[in-house]
Amino acid sequence: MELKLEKFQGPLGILLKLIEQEELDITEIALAKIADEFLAYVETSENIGPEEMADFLVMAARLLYIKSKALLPYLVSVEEEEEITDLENQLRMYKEFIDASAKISELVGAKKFLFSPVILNKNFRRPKKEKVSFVAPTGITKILLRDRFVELLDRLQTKIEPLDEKSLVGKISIDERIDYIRELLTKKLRFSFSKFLETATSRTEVIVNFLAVLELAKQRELVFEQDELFSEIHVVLRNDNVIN
Amino acid sequence: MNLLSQLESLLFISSKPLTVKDIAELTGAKAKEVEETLEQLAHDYKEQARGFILIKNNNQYQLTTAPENTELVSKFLKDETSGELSQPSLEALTIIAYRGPITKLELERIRGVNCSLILRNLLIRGLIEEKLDKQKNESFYLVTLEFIKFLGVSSVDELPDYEKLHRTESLEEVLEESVNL
Repeated sequence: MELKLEKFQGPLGILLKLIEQEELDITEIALAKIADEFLAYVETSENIGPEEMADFLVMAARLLYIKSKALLPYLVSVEEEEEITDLENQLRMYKEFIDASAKISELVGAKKFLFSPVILNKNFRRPKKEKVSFVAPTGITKILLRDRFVELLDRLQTKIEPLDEKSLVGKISIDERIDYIRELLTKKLRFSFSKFLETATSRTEVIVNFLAVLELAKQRELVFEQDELFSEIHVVLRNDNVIN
Repeated sequence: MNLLSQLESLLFISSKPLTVKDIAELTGAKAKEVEETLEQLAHDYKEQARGFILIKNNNQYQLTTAPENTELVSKFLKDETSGELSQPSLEALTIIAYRGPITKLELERIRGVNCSLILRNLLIRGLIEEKLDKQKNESFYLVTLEFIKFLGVSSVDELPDYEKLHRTESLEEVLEESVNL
């Protein structure tokens, strides 16, 4: 497990790699472009440990946000604009250190190790490292030990901040809803759009229903019919999809 | 009394790094004077292309063999140091070397990923050390003399682009901003 994690790269590293692969500069456009690739990486990579997954998901969310902004630019506030610039800056900064680490790697690779005086045994060898053992420092007292322990506990305590607890509510995915609509259309051929939306039990479900219908329209599996302006919209299976 | 000569003797005989404070106490000289003399010594060794150099890190000083002679010395010591580092270790070490003393939080902000495991591994390997700032109740990380010896430089400020990466405005900004998020 540890070995695996040691080899693995963080989300910024992956981002940088994707951007370089596409031969892009670090810009908002580049970030929007590689959002899907990043998601695909997170979905398929087996190298992401549970501790790092959270960092990857945060990054995925930021990228999706940037992508949605590219599609719907007028919905973005100044504050959110700043967050995008932050990511660009963070990435540029990270790249500078990555470039520096390549130089450090060269330095280490050059093997110009420095040696400080050592005591050699009679074969001119450095003595083997002694086994690590515990030796109590001089002047140690019960009170001193107690104080150190309290200090340690204090340090641990201040670092753990309780997080808000929230549980996940079961949601319907767009994929599931698309399957459901397909099934519905093969049975009924057409249905009322408003009545369909009314069946939703939550706001999220309304949105999911809406998106699922739009997606199917985009994929040309269904069409909308409306007799006159503001009248009932019907969702109809496209003729060429009807199996004769 | 010749402080330069005194310092040289102390550094020569000590198998452990010495701090300015150690030397000032021993010699009775002022800390500032000790520091200047140490710089002088380091400068002289380099100037004269001697067989040893004086390296410095976190206020610790030590004499080491000169980088030009590593091969010879390794042969003599039958040293098998490979110097292998994984990519994430290298990344973390680079950031700590340029930005140290640095907190775990800052390191994680730059790398964008949890660094607990890497920090622990680097501590175990003796490449970094942890210092607790009691007033802020926060731990800071620094590279060790061992890491400096690994690089073959006499202190971190000899690293390429050190000034630029040590204090870059954009970094300050990024760190500021992410605190406010």
